[in-house]
Amino acid sequence: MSEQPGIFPTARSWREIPQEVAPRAMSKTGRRRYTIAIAKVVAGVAFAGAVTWGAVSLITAIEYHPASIARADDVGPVKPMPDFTTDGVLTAEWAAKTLAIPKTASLMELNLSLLQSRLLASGQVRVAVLEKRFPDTLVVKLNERTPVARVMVQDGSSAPTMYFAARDGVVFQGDGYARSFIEQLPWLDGVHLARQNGRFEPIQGMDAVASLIAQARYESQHLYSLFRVISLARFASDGLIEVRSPVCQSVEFTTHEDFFRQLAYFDYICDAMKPTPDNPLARIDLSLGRNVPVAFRDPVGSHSKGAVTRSTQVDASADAQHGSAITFPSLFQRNPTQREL
Amino acid sequence: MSSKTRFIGAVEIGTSKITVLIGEYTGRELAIIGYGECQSRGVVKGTVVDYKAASECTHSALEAAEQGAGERIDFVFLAQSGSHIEGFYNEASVNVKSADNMVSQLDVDTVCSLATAKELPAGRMVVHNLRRPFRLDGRIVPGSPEHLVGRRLESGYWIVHGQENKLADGIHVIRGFNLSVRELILSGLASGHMVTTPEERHNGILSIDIGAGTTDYVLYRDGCPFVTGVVAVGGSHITNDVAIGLRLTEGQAEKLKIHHGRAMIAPGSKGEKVWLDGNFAIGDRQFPRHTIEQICAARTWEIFEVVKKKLGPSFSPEKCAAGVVLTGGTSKLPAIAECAAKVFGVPAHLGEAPSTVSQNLREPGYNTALGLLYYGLSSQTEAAPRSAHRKSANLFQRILAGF
Repeated sequence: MSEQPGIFPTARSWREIPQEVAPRAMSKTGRRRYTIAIAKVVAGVAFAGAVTWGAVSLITAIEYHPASIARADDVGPVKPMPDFTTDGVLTAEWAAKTLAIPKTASLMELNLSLLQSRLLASGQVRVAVLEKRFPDTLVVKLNERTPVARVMVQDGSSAPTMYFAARDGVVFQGDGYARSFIEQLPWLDGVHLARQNGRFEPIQGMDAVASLIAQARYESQHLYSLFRVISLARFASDGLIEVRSPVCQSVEFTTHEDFFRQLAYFDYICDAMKPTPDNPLARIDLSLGRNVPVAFRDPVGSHSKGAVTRSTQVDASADAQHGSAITFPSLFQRNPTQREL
Repeated sequence: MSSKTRFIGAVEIGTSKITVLIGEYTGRELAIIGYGECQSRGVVKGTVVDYKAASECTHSALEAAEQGAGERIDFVFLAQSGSHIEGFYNEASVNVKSADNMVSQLDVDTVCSLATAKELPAGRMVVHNLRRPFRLDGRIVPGSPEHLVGRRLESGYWIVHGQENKLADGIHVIRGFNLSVRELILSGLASGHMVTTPEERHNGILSIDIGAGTTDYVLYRDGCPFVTGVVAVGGSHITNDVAIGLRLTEGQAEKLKIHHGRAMIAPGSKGEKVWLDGNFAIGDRQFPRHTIEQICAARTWEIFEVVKKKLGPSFSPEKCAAGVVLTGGTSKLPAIAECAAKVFGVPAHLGEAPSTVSQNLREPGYNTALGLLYYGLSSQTEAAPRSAHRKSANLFQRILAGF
């Protein structure tokens, strides 16, 4: 029977109709499906080819070049200096000292989590990424915190020590900063530091302080250079940041309003009153919007018992004797450009 | 079929609409998970005449079904209709070869090969080889005659064939969507499989699927398709007659046919008038209901007469005990079952899909698409063990030959 059906005449079946795809006969959707199908086939073939090539390469390497495959137990001691990268001021030497890797330790023996925790113990390091690069190199990549202000801390009976505070409120000792950089940082006052797990708890309000300082540095460097002490004593209760400077004993900024406008008022008042370190203003309260009370120090020999507050429109210089409140025009408030100032 | 889940598309490229169903077949169960429908363009009397228009419609329906299902179709069961589809009967007989007169697989294969061995005219291609029951020494064998004892084995096939280029057009429309046609199934067979039960097919039943452009019929006897055929008239011809008779557009005539048409004239309809739109808009007018019914009834009667004439002596009321079952979009015409019963002289009823089919797919217009899935899968399931048996037999014979 296996040969018998061949002797009978056979009619052609519809299955003999060729079902090849003729691209010209395809619709847009059909072409898209066809392209996807082709792409799938190509991707499949490429993947299979890559797997095959990888397998062949591996077999070849194992058979003919076994030395080219580094064995994990053959790795030597790790290099004393890591391959170090940072976006701050820390150095490879600092990293090596902090990591304290034994000289004879091999790369396989390193516990990266432990090493990472050593790096992060210094509050100056925000993110630490460690990577083993065989056969003997440890790669360290750091992302550092930038100090916003400095704070003097006296822990128990020990001598006072200078710390730095970052934008996220983390207090750290800091390492590697230039003296000139440190000296231009304002001091922080009115904060209560508490220790937890051997580290200081983050300071609340540092984000606002950082914004104020950044705005001052960006908009008016001459004002920023006057910032000596920044007090957060009234931050929690009133949302106020007090800045002490040589030209004014107390300038109060509020966190509820834009720092730009407050700085502009401060600049205007400084220009109008022309205070000097020898004749500073007593207090400028920038937290009341357009009305800015300004308190003056009593002139030498005066018998005034305190600041007397008066309202005036703009001409503050005429009242620059005892005390006044300067009301800024609304136009200035809406669009406080330099020209209007 | 393997046990891997397959997503099968059932596509019916009809004269009035293109229907696509997506079935998820797990190897044991079939679930309808997607449905797409589009008004047909470029198809006349079940045949593709404008490739681009037909492709766009079919592909829209396929895309809608795939989007609804959230799956991509693996392959397609395509319905085939059109007046080019014809059929003829061919039979063969062999003497049982073994000495003990027990029918072997070899005898069965031989008689089947002989019965299907018939050359067709140029340009014609076989669509189906529908086997009628075997006869062993004159007695009907419903199943396989293997291992039965007898002298003479007879087998007959109803061979359905069609015009090669017209069959290819439908396949190319599907290929244009980058899908392959796994089965080409006669529309009438698909819908007939859906609206008839095995008992009815055994007792004898005539399934008539009246579409818009064609009417497909299948006469079942002894559980098998006995005769199939396609008549190139359908519901659109009734619409056309209403349009000509009442001087209306095709759309207006279709609306009148759907709302007021009947396959039999209702007794009290004389003198009654119906509105074209019924919304009192400009151009709305009245028509005599009796006239509409007269036109519809005459044309419906004519369709059934044509089917009866084409069936010829194959149809006899005595051998069609289960009567006539009607399906297809035009079967929604009121009183059409009564009309069919009068013409054929047997009881007639409207076909219904099995209760397992969800309510929104139980319209008569979806029976062909549903039947494509069920008939296509059942024919594939039947074919799979046979081919596996043949392969193993050949292998066994080859091993034996080696010794």
